Amino acid sequence: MSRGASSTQIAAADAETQGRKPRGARRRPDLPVPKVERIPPRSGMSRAEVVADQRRRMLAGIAAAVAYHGYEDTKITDIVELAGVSRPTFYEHFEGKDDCFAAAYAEGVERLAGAVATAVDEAGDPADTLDAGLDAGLELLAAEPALAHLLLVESLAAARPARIEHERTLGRLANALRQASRGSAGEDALPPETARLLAGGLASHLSGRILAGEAADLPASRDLLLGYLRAALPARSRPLAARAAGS
Amino acid sequence: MPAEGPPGAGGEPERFEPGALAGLPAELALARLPPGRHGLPRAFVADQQRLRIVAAMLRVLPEHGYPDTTIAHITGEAAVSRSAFYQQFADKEECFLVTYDLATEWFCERVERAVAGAASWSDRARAGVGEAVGLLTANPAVAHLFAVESLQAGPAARQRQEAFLGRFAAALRQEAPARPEVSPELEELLLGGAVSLIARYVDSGRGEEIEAAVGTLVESLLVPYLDPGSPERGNRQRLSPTPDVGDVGRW
Repeated sequence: MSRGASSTQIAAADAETQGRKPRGARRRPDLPVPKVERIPPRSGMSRAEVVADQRRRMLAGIAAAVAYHGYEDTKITDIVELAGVSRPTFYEHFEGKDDCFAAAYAEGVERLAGAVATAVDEAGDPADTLDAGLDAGLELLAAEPALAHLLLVESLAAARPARIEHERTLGRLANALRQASRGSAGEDALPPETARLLAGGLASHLSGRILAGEAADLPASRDLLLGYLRAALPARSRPLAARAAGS
Repeated sequence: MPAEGPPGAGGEPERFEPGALAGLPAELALARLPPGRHGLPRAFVADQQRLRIVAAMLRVLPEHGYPDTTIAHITGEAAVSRSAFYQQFADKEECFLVTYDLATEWFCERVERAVAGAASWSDRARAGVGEAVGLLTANPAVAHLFAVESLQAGPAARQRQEAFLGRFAAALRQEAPARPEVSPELEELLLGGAVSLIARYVDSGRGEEIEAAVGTLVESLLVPYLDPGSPERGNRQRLSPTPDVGDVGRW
Protein backbone atom coordinates (compact mmCIF):
# COMPACT_ATOMS: atom_id res chain seq x y z
CA MET A 1 0.00 0.00 0.00
CA SER A 2 2.21 2.80 -1.10
CA ARG A 3 0.08 5.89 -1.37
CA GLY A 4 2.88 8.32 -0.76
CA ALA A 5 2.17 9.90 -4.16
CA SER A 6 5.52 11.33 -5.19
CA SER A 7 5.54 14.33 -7.45
CA THR A 8 6.42 12.14 -10.40
CA GLN A 9 3.43 9.93 -9.68
CA ILE A 10 1.27 13.02 -9.49
CA ALA A 11 2.70 14.24 -12.77
CA ALA A 12 2.00 10.87 -14.33
CA ALA A 13 -1.55 10.89 -12.99
CA ASP A 14 -2.00 14.42 -14.30
CA ALA A 15 -0.79 13.40 -17.72
CA GLU A 16 -3.17 10.45 -17.64
CA THR A 17 -6.22 12.53 -16.83
CA GLN A 18 -5.37 15.76 -18.60
CA GLY A 19 -6.68 14.66 -21.94
CA ARG A 20 -10.19 14.02 -20.65
CA LYS A 21 -10.61 16.25 -17.65
CA PRO A 22 -10.94 19.95 -18.37
CA ARG A 23 -8.27 21.87 -16.49
CA GLY A 24 -9.70 24.22 -13.94
CA ALA A 25 -12.95 22.33 -13.45
CA ARG A 26 -14.34 23.94 -10.34
CA ARG A 27 -15.11 21.64 -7.51
CA ARG A 28 -16.88 24.37 -5.56
CA PRO A 29 -18.90 26.65 -7.81
CA ASP A 30 -20.25 28.42 -4.71
CA LEU A 31 -16.82 29.78 -3.84
CA PRO A 32 -15.54 32.98 -5.41
CA VAL A 33 -12.43 32.90 -7.57
CA PRO A 34 -9.77 32.55 -4.92
CA LYS A 35 -7.41 35.27 -3.91
CA VAL A 36 -4.97 35.67 -1.07
CA GLU A 37 -4.69 38.91 0.84
CA ARG A 38 -1.27 40.47 0.59
CA ILE A 39 0.26 42.81 3.06
CA PRO A 40 1.97 45.57 1.06
CA PRO A 41 5.69 45.24 1.55
CA ARG A 42 6.99 48.02 3.67
CA SER A 43 10.48 49.20 4.31
CA GLY A 44 11.98 47.98 7.54
CA MET A 45 10.38 44.51 7.26
CA SER A 46 12.95 42.08 8.57
CA ARG A 47 13.96 39.07 6.52
CA ALA A 48 12.18 36.82 9.04
CA GLU A 49 8.95 38.83 8.70
CA VAL A 50 9.10 38.61 4.92
CA VAL A 51 9.64 34.85 5.06
CA ALA A 52 6.83 34.37 7.58
CA ASP A 53 4.44 36.37 5.43
CA GLN A 54 5.41 34.39 2.33
CA ARG A 55 4.70 31.19 4.20
CA ARG A 56 1.33 32.48 5.41
CA ARG A 57 0.39 33.43 1.85
CA MET A 58 1.40 30.03 0.47
CA LEU A 59 -0.66 28.21 3.13
CA ALA A 60 -3.63 30.44 2.35
CA GLY A 61 -2.87 29.91 -1.34
CA ILE A 62 -3.06 26.13 -1.21
CA ALA A 63 -6.27 26.29 0.84
CA ALA A 64 -7.88 28.57 -1.75
CA ALA A 65 -6.53 26.49 -4.65
CA VAL A 66 -7.69 23.07 -3.40
CA ALA A 67 -11.13 24.42 -2.51
CA TYR A 68 -11.44 25.74 -6.05
CA HIS A 69 -9.80 23.01 -8.12
CA GLY A 70 -9.76 20.01 -5.79
CA TYR A 71 -6.52 18.52 -4.45
CA GLU A 72 -5.84 16.31 -7.42
CA ASP A 73 -6.05 19.12 -9.97
CA THR A 74 -4.19 21.74 -7.96
CA LYS A 75 -0.81 22.67 -9.45
CA ILE A 76 2.17 24.35 -7.81
CA THR A 77 1.55 27.14 -10.34
CA ASP A 78 -1.87 27.79 -8.78
CA ILE A 79 -0.34 28.09 -5.32
CA VAL A 80 2.55 30.38 -6.24
CA GLU A 81 0.30 32.63 -8.35
CA LEU A 82 -2.22 33.01 -5.53
CA ALA A 83 0.49 33.59 -2.97
CA GLY A 84 2.43 35.99 -5.16
CA VAL A 85 5.71 34.19 -4.63
CA SER A 86 8.17 32.68 -7.06
CA ARG A 87 8.44 28.98 -7.70
CA PRO A 88 11.95 28.78 -6.14
CA THR A 89 10.57 30.48 -3.01
CA PHE A 90 7.89 27.80 -2.84
CA TYR A 91 10.52 25.07 -2.95
CA GLU A 92 12.57 26.82 -0.27
CA HIS A 93 9.64 26.25 2.08
CA PHE A 94 8.13 22.99 0.86
CA GLU A 95 9.19 19.82 -0.90
CA GLY A 96 6.04 19.83 -3.01
CA LYS A 97 2.26 19.90 -3.01
CA ASP A 98 1.85 17.13 -0.39
CA ASP A 99 4.24 18.85 1.98
CA CYS A 100 2.63 22.27 1.57
CA PHE A 101 -0.80 20.71 2.10
CA ALA A 102 0.39 18.96 5.27
CA ALA A 103 1.69 22.28 6.62
CA ALA A 104 -1.59 24.05 5.80
CA TYR A 105 -3.56 21.23 7.41
CA ALA A 106 -1.46 21.28 10.59
CA GLU A 107 -1.67 25.05 10.85
CA GLY A 108 -5.46 24.95 10.33
CA VAL A 109 -5.99 22.26 12.97
CA GLU A 110 -3.92 24.20 15.48
CA ARG A 111 -5.92 27.34 14.79
CA LEU A 112 -9.17 25.40 15.21
CA ALA A 113 -7.95 23.74 18.39
CA GLY A 114 -6.81 27.12 19.70
CA ALA A 115 -10.22 28.71 19.08
CA VAL A 116 -11.95 25.79 20.81
CA ALA A 117 -9.55 25.85 23.77
CA THR A 118 -10.01 29.60 24.27
CA ALA A 119 -13.81 29.23 24.24
CA VAL A 120 -13.65 26.31 26.67
CA ASP A 121 -11.42 28.27 29.06
CA GLU A 122 -13.73 31.24 28.93
CA ALA A 123 -16.81 29.10 29.54
CA GLY A 124 -15.58 28.24 33.01
CA ASP A 125 -18.52 26.06 34.12
CA PRO A 126 -17.81 22.46 33.02
CA ALA A 127 -21.45 22.10 31.99
CA ASP A 128 -20.94 24.80 29.35
CA THR A 129 -17.69 23.59 27.84
CA LEU A 130 -19.24 21.33 25.23
CA ASP A 131 -21.54 23.96 23.72
CA ALA A 132 -18.87 26.63 23.95
CA GLY A 133 -16.23 24.48 22.27
CA LEU A 134 -18.56 23.25 19.53
CA ASP A 135 -19.81 26.77 18.85
CA ALA A 136 -16.32 28.22 18.60
CA GLY A 137 -15.08 25.46 16.27
CA LEU A 138 -18.10 25.53 13.99
CA GLU A 139 -18.12 29.33 13.82
CA LEU A 140 -14.47 29.42 12.77
CA LEU A 141 -15.18 26.84 10.04
CA ALA A 142 -18.20 28.82 8.83
CA ALA A 143 -16.19 32.04 8.75
CA GLU A 144 -13.36 30.47 6.74
CA PRO A 145 -14.89 28.27 4.04
CA ALA A 146 -11.55 27.54 2.36
CA LEU A 147 -10.10 26.31 5.65
CA ALA A 148 -13.21 24.20 6.33
CA HIS A 149 -12.93 22.68 2.88
CA LEU A 150 -9.23 21.93 3.32
CA LEU A 151 -9.67 20.32 6.75
CA LEU A 152 -12.83 18.34 6.12
CA VAL A 153 -12.96 17.57 2.40
CA GLU A 154 -9.54 17.71 0.79
CA SER A 155 -7.74 16.06 3.71
CA LEU A 156 -9.41 12.85 2.52
CA ALA A 157 -8.38 13.35 -1.09
CA ALA A 158 -4.74 14.17 -0.33
CA ALA A 159 -1.85 11.74 0.00
CA ARG A 160 -1.88 9.00 2.62
CA PRO A 161 0.11 10.92 5.29
CA ALA A 162 -2.60 13.59 5.20
CA ARG A 163 -5.27 10.95 5.85
CA ILE A 164 -3.30 9.57 8.78
CA GLU A 165 -3.05 13.09 10.16
CA HIS A 166 -6.79 13.51 9.68
CA GLU A 167 -7.40 10.31 11.61
CA ARG A 168 -5.29 11.72 14.42
CA THR A 169 -7.38 14.89 14.41
CA LEU A 170 -10.54 12.79 14.73
CA GLY A 171 -8.92 11.08 17.73
CA ARG A 172 -8.29 14.47 19.31
CA LEU A 173 -11.87 15.51 18.67
CA ALA A 174 -13.11 12.24 20.20
CA ASN A 175 -11.02 12.81 23.32
CA ALA A 176 -12.33 16.36 23.61
CA LEU A 177 -15.92 15.10 23.31
CA ARG A 178 -15.30 12.51 26.02
CA GLN A 179 -13.85 15.08 28.36
CA ALA A 180 -16.64 17.54 27.75
CA SER A 181 -19.28 14.85 28.26
CA ARG A 182 -17.83 13.89 31.62
CA GLY A 183 -19.80 16.22 33.87
CA SER A 184 -18.32 18.09 36.80
CA ALA A 185 -19.25 15.22 39.13
CA GLY A 186 -17.42 12.75 36.88
CA GLU A 187 -20.64 10.98 35.85
CA ASP A 188 -21.40 9.25 32.55
CA ALA A 189 -18.51 9.90 30.21
CA LEU A 190 -19.01 8.64 26.67
CA PRO A 191 -17.30 5.30 25.99
CA PRO A 192 -14.28 5.82 23.71
CA GLU A 193 -15.88 3.94 20.81
CA THR A 194 -18.95 6.15 21.03
CA ALA A 195 -16.80 9.26 21.05
CA ARG A 196 -14.92 7.99 17.97
CA LEU A 197 -18.17 7.26 16.24
CA LEU A 198 -19.50 10.75 16.99
CA ALA A 199 -16.25 12.42 15.92
CA GLY A 200 -16.11 10.52 12.61
CA GLY A 201 -19.83 10.98 12.02
CA LEU A 202 -19.60 14.71 12.71
CA ALA A 203 -16.63 15.16 10.36
CA SER A 204 -18.38 13.29 7.60
CA HIS A 205 -21.65 15.15 8.19
CA LEU A 206 -19.82 18.50 8.02
CA SER A 207 -17.98 17.60 4.85
CA GLY A 208 -21.30 16.62 3.28
CA ARG A 209 -22.74 20.04 4.17
CA ILE A 210 -19.64 21.77 2.79
CA LEU A 211 -19.83 19.90 -0.51
CA ALA A 212 -23.51 20.80 -0.73
CA GLY A 213 -22.47 24.47 -0.55
CA GLU A 214 -23.87 24.96 2.96
CA ALA A 215 -20.64 25.91 4.69
CA ALA A 216 -22.23 29.01 6.22
CA ASP A 217 -24.78 26.84 8.06
CA LEU A 218 -22.25 24.67 9.88
CA PRO A 219 -23.03 26.18 13.32
CA ALA A 220 -26.51 24.57 13.12
CA SER A 221 -24.86 21.13 13.27
CA ARG A 222 -24.04 21.72 16.92
CA ASP A 223 -27.60 20.78 17.88
CA LEU A 224 -27.20 17.35 16.28
CA LEU A 225 -24.49 16.35 18.73
CA LEU A 226 -26.25 18.00 21.65
CA GLY A 227 -29.39 16.06 20.70
CA TYR A 228 -27.46 12.82 20.91
CA LEU A 229 -25.94 13.67 24.26
CA ARG A 230 -29.27 14.81 25.67
CA ALA A 231 -30.79 11.47 24.76
CA ALA A 232 -27.78 9.31 25.55
CA LEU A 233 -26.59 10.93 28.76
CA PRO A 234 -29.69 12.36 30.41
CA ALA A 235 -28.04 12.87 33.78
CA ARG A 236 -25.17 14.82 32.25
CA SER A 237 -27.13 16.85 29.79
CA ARG A 238 -30.08 18.14 31.76
CA PRO A 239 -28.52 21.60 31.96
CA LEU A 240 -28.06 21.57 28.18
CA ALA A 241 -31.70 20.71 27.66
CA ALA A 242 -32.74 23.47 30.04
CA ARG A 243 -30.58 25.97 28.18
CA ALA A 244 -31.81 24.87 24.79
CA ALA A 245 -35.40 25.29 25.98
CA GLY A 246 -34.59 28.73 27.32
CA SER A 247 -32.80 30.04 24.24
CA MET B 1 -29.49 -9.12 -8.29
CA PRO B 2 -28.71 -12.79 -8.08
CA ALA B 3 -30.87 -15.44 -6.56
CA GLU B 4 -28.51 -17.12 -4.18
CA GLY B 5 -28.61 -19.68 -1.46
CA PRO B 6 -29.68 -18.97 2.10
CA PRO B 7 -27.72 -16.31 3.98
CA GLY B 8 -24.66 -17.63 5.71
CA ALA B 9 -26.22 -17.53 9.16
CA GLY B 10 -23.54 -18.67 11.53
CA GLY B 11 -21.28 -19.58 8.64
CA GLU B 12 -18.36 -17.78 7.10
CA PRO B 13 -19.04 -14.16 6.12
CA GLU B 14 -19.60 -13.91 2.43
CA ARG B 15 -17.02 -12.67 -0.05
CA PHE B 16 -17.87 -9.86 -2.45
CA GLU B 17 -17.21 -11.16 -5.94
CA PRO B 18 -18.50 -8.85 -8.65
CA GLY B 19 -18.59 -11.76 -11.12
CA ALA B 20 -20.88 -13.75 -8.86
CA LEU B 21 -23.22 -10.77 -8.58
CA ALA B 22 -24.45 -11.28 -12.10
CA GLY B 23 -25.09 -14.93 -11.44
CA LEU B 24 -21.95 -16.00 -13.25
CA PRO B 25 -19.72 -18.71 -11.86
CA ALA B 26 -16.92 -16.78 -10.15
CA GLU B 27 -14.16 -18.75 -11.85
CA LEU B 28 -15.58 -17.91 -15.27
CA ALA B 29 -16.19 -14.27 -14.44
CA LEU B 30 -12.64 -13.67 -13.37
CA ALA B 31 -10.95 -15.85 -15.93
CA ARG B 32 -9.55 -14.47 -19.14
CA LEU B 33 -11.65 -15.24 -22.19
CA PRO B 34 -9.96 -17.35 -24.82
CA PRO B 35 -8.82 -15.20 -27.75
CA GLY B 36 -10.56 -15.42 -31.08
CA ARG B 37 -14.00 -16.86 -31.75
CA HIS B 38 -15.41 -18.49 -28.67
CA GLY B 39 -19.07 -18.68 -29.61
CA LEU B 40 -20.22 -16.85 -26.48
CA PRO B 41 -23.11 -14.40 -26.95
CA ARG B 42 -21.98 -10.80 -27.34
CA ALA B 43 -24.06 -9.49 -24.41
CA PHE B 44 -22.64 -12.17 -22.16
CA VAL B 45 -19.10 -11.19 -23.10
CA ALA B 46 -19.84 -7.50 -22.48
CA ASP B 47 -21.33 -8.18 -19.02
CA GLN B 48 -18.49 -10.43 -18.20
CA GLN B 49 -15.91 -7.83 -19.20
CA ARG B 50 -17.72 -5.12 -17.27
CA LEU B 51 -17.65 -7.17 -14.10
CA ARG B 52 -14.05 -8.19 -14.64
CA ILE B 53 -13.12 -4.52 -14.93
CA VAL B 54 -15.07 -3.77 -11.73
CA ALA B 55 -13.32 -6.58 -9.90
CA ALA B 56 -9.98 -5.22 -11.14
CA MET B 57 -10.87 -1.69 -10.01
CA LEU B 58 -11.59 -3.05 -6.55
CA ARG B 59 -8.21 -4.80 -6.44
CA VAL B 60 -6.04 -1.94 -7.70
CA LEU B 61 -7.61 0.82 -5.55
CA PRO B 62 -5.92 -0.13 -2.25
CA GLU B 63 -2.55 -0.15 -3.96
CA HIS B 64 -2.71 3.16 -5.82
CA GLY B 65 -5.59 5.13 -4.31
CA TYR B 66 -8.29 6.60 -6.53
CA PRO B 67 -6.47 9.79 -7.57
CA ASP B 68 -3.37 7.90 -8.77
CA THR B 69 -5.18 4.91 -10.26
CA THR B 70 -4.91 5.00 -14.03
CA ILE B 71 -6.94 3.30 -16.73
CA ALA B 72 -3.78 1.31 -17.50
CA HIS B 73 -3.68 -0.05 -13.94
CA ILE B 74 -7.28 -1.22 -14.28
CA THR B 75 -7.04 -2.72 -17.75
CA GLY B 76 -3.76 -4.42 -16.84
CA GLU B 77 -5.31 -6.04 -13.79
CA ALA B 78 -8.49 -6.99 -15.67
CA ALA B 79 -6.56 -8.24 -18.72
CA VAL B 80 -8.81 -6.30 -21.09
CA SER B 81 -7.87 -3.80 -23.75
CA ARG B 82 -8.13 -0.06 -23.31
CA SER B 83 -10.85 0.09 -25.94
CA ALA B 84 -12.79 -2.63 -24.11
CA PHE B 85 -12.65 -0.40 -21.04
CA TYR B 86 -14.02 2.59 -22.93
CA GLN B 87 -16.78 0.48 -24.44
CA GLN B 88 -17.99 -0.16 -20.91
CA PHE B 89 -17.23 3.10 -19.11
CA ALA B 90 -16.88 6.73 -20.10
CA ASP B 91 -13.99 7.30 -17.70
CA LYS B 92 -12.36 6.27 -14.45
CA GLU B 93 -15.00 8.00 -12.37
CA GLU B 94 -17.88 6.15 -14.02
CA CYS B 95 -16.08 2.86 -13.50
CA PHE B 96 -15.55 3.78 -9.87
CA LEU B 97 -19.19 4.70 -9.35
CA VAL B 98 -20.37 1.41 -10.85
CA THR B 99 -17.94 -0.44 -8.58
CA TYR B 100 -19.20 1.50 -5.60
CA ASP B 101 -22.85 0.89 -6.49
CA LEU B 102 -22.33 -2.86 -6.85
CA ALA B 103 -20.45 -3.04 -3.56
CA THR B 104 -23.01 -1.01 -1.60
CA GLU B 105 -25.91 -2.95 -3.14
CA TRP B 106 -24.23 -6.20 -2.13
CA PHE B 107 -23.46 -4.86 1.36
CA CYS B 108 -26.96 -3.45 1.99
CA GLU B 109 -28.66 -6.63 0.80
CA ARG B 110 -26.59 -8.80 3.11
CA VAL B 111 -27.12 -6.53 6.10
CA GLU B 112 -30.86 -6.28 5.44
CA ARG B 113 -31.07 -10.04 5.14
CA ALA B 114 -29.25 -10.51 8.45
CA VAL B 115 -31.59 -8.05 10.10
CA ALA B 116 -34.77 -9.65 8.78
CA GLY B 117 -34.64 -12.65 11.09
CA ALA B 118 -34.40 -10.74 14.38
CA ALA B 119 -37.47 -10.15 16.52
CA SER B 120 -37.14 -6.68 18.09
CA TRP B 121 -35.78 -3.50 16.56
CA SER B 122 -32.88 -3.47 18.97
CA ASP B 123 -31.99 -7.06 18.05
CA ARG B 124 -32.19 -6.03 14.40
CA ALA B 125 -29.73 -3.22 15.05
CA ARG B 126 -27.40 -5.67 16.79
CA ALA B 127 -27.69 -8.16 13.92
CA GLY B 128 -27.06 -5.38 11.39
CA VAL B 129 -23.92 -4.05 13.06
CA GLY B 130 -22.61 -7.58 13.62
CA GLU B 131 -23.17 -8.47 9.98
CA ALA B 132 -21.56 -5.22 8.79
CA VAL B 133 -18.46 -5.92 10.86
CA GLY B 134 -18.30 -9.52 9.60
CA LEU B 135 -18.72 -8.56 5.95
CA LEU B 136 -16.13 -5.80 6.03
CA THR B 137 -13.63 -7.90 7.96
CA ALA B 138 -13.96 -10.66 5.37
CA ASN B 139 -13.71 -8.17 2.50
CA PRO B 140 -10.91 -5.70 3.18
CA ALA B 141 -11.11 -4.30 -0.36
CA VAL B 142 -14.72 -3.28 0.26
CA ALA B 143 -13.76 -1.80 3.63
CA HIS B 144 -11.06 0.20 1.87
CA LEU B 145 -13.60 1.36 -0.69
CA PHE B 146 -15.96 2.62 2.04
CA ALA B 147 -13.29 3.99 4.37
CA VAL B 148 -11.04 5.80 1.94
CA GLU B 149 -11.84 5.81 -1.75
CA SER B 150 -15.49 6.83 -1.57
CA LEU B 151 -14.38 10.02 0.17
CA GLN B 152 -11.73 10.99 -2.34
CA ALA B 153 -13.40 10.06 -5.60
CA GLY B 154 -15.27 13.32 -6.01
CA PRO B 155 -18.68 14.80 -5.25
CA ALA B 156 -20.71 12.14 -7.11
CA ALA B 157 -19.17 9.42 -4.95
CA ARG B 158 -19.96 11.42 -1.82
CA GLN B 159 -23.60 11.73 -2.86
CA ARG B 160 -23.70 7.98 -3.36
CA GLN B 161 -22.34 7.49 0.12
CA GLU B 162 -24.97 9.77 1.63
CA ALA B 163 -27.71 7.86 -0.16
CA PHE B 164 -26.24 4.59 1.08
CA LEU B 165 -26.28 5.77 4.70
CA GLY B 166 -29.72 7.30 4.24
CA ARG B 167 -31.04 3.85 3.36
CA PHE B 168 -29.94 2.45 6.73
CA ALA B 169 -31.11 5.56 8.55
CA ALA B 170 -34.57 5.19 7.03
CA ALA B 171 -34.77 1.57 8.17
CA LEU B 172 -33.73 2.51 11.68
CA ARG B 173 -36.22 5.38 11.80
CA GLN B 174 -39.14 3.18 10.81
CA GLU B 175 -38.60 0.81 13.66
CA ALA B 176 -37.00 2.64 16.54
CA PRO B 177 -39.12 4.39 19.17
CA ALA B 178 -39.68 8.03 18.24
CA ARG B 179 -37.45 10.36 20.19
CA PRO B 180 -37.68 14.09 19.56
CA GLU B 181 -33.95 14.56 20.21
CA VAL B 182 -33.01 12.15 17.43
CA SER B 183 -33.40 13.86 14.08
CA PRO B 184 -32.96 12.10 10.72
CA GLU B 185 -29.70 14.00 10.32
CA LEU B 186 -28.45 12.67 13.63
CA GLU B 187 -29.36 9.13 12.54
CA GLU B 188 -27.30 9.58 9.39
CA LEU B 189 -24.44 11.01 11.41
CA LEU B 190 -24.46 8.01 13.74
CA LEU B 191 -24.70 5.43 10.99
CA GLY B 192 -22.10 7.24 8.92
CA GLY B 193 -19.85 7.31 11.94
CA ALA B 194 -20.39 3.61 12.58
CA VAL B 195 -19.79 2.45 9.00
CA SER B 196 -16.72 4.63 8.60
CA LEU B 197 -15.32 3.60 11.97
CA ILE B 198 -15.68 -0.09 11.14
CA ALA B 199 -14.29 0.39 7.65
CA ARG B 200 -11.31 2.44 8.87
CA TYR B 201 -10.39 -0.15 11.45
CA VAL B 202 -10.56 -3.00 8.97
CA ASP B 203 -8.63 -0.96 6.41
CA SER B 204 -5.84 -0.29 8.87
CA GLY B 205 -5.54 -3.98 9.76
CA ARG B 206 -7.31 -3.68 13.10
CA GLY B 207 -10.47 -5.63 12.34
CA GLU B 208 -10.12 -7.68 15.51
CA GLU B 209 -10.30 -4.60 17.69
CA ILE B 210 -13.51 -3.47 16.10
CA GLU B 211 -14.99 -6.97 16.39
CA ALA B 212 -14.26 -6.79 20.11
CA ALA B 213 -16.04 -3.44 20.32
CA VAL B 214 -19.26 -4.41 18.50
CA GLY B 215 -21.26 -4.37 21.74
CA THR B 216 -20.29 -0.80 22.52
CA LEU B 217 -20.89 0.31 18.94
CA VAL B 218 -24.39 -1.15 19.02
CA GLU B 219 -25.07 0.52 22.31
CA SER B 220 -23.82 3.85 20.94
CA LEU B 221 -26.39 3.57 18.17
CA LEU B 222 -29.26 2.46 20.37
CA VAL B 223 -28.85 4.49 23.52
CA PRO B 224 -30.49 7.69 22.27
CA TYR B 225 -33.68 5.72 21.61
CA LEU B 226 -33.90 4.02 24.98
CA ASP B 227 -35.83 5.43 27.90
CA PRO B 228 -33.62 6.50 30.78
CA GLY B 229 -35.10 3.71 32.94
CA SER B 230 -34.75 1.01 30.28
CA PRO B 231 -32.89 -2.09 31.44
CA GLU B 232 -31.05 -2.16 28.10
CA ARG B 233 -29.22 0.97 29.17
CA GLY B 234 -27.46 -1.12 31.76
CA ASN B 235 -25.67 -3.12 29.07
CA ARG B 236 -22.68 -0.86 29.18
CA GLN B 237 -21.75 -1.88 32.68
CA ARG B 238 -21.99 -5.56 31.83
CA LEU B 239 -19.81 -5.38 28.73
CA SER B 240 -16.31 -6.56 29.19
CA PRO B 241 -13.85 -3.71 28.87
CA THR B 242 -12.99 -3.01 25.26
CA PRO B 243 -9.65 -1.75 24.03
CA ASP B 244 -9.48 2.01 23.92
CA VAL B 245 -9.99 2.55 20.21
CA GLY B 246 -9.14 6.21 20.70
CA ASP B 247 -5.52 5.29 20.07
CA VAL B 248 -4.87 6.31 16.50
CA GLY B 249 -1.09 6.24 16.47
CA ARG B 250 -0.79 3.11 14.40
CA TRP B 251 -3.09 4.07 11.56
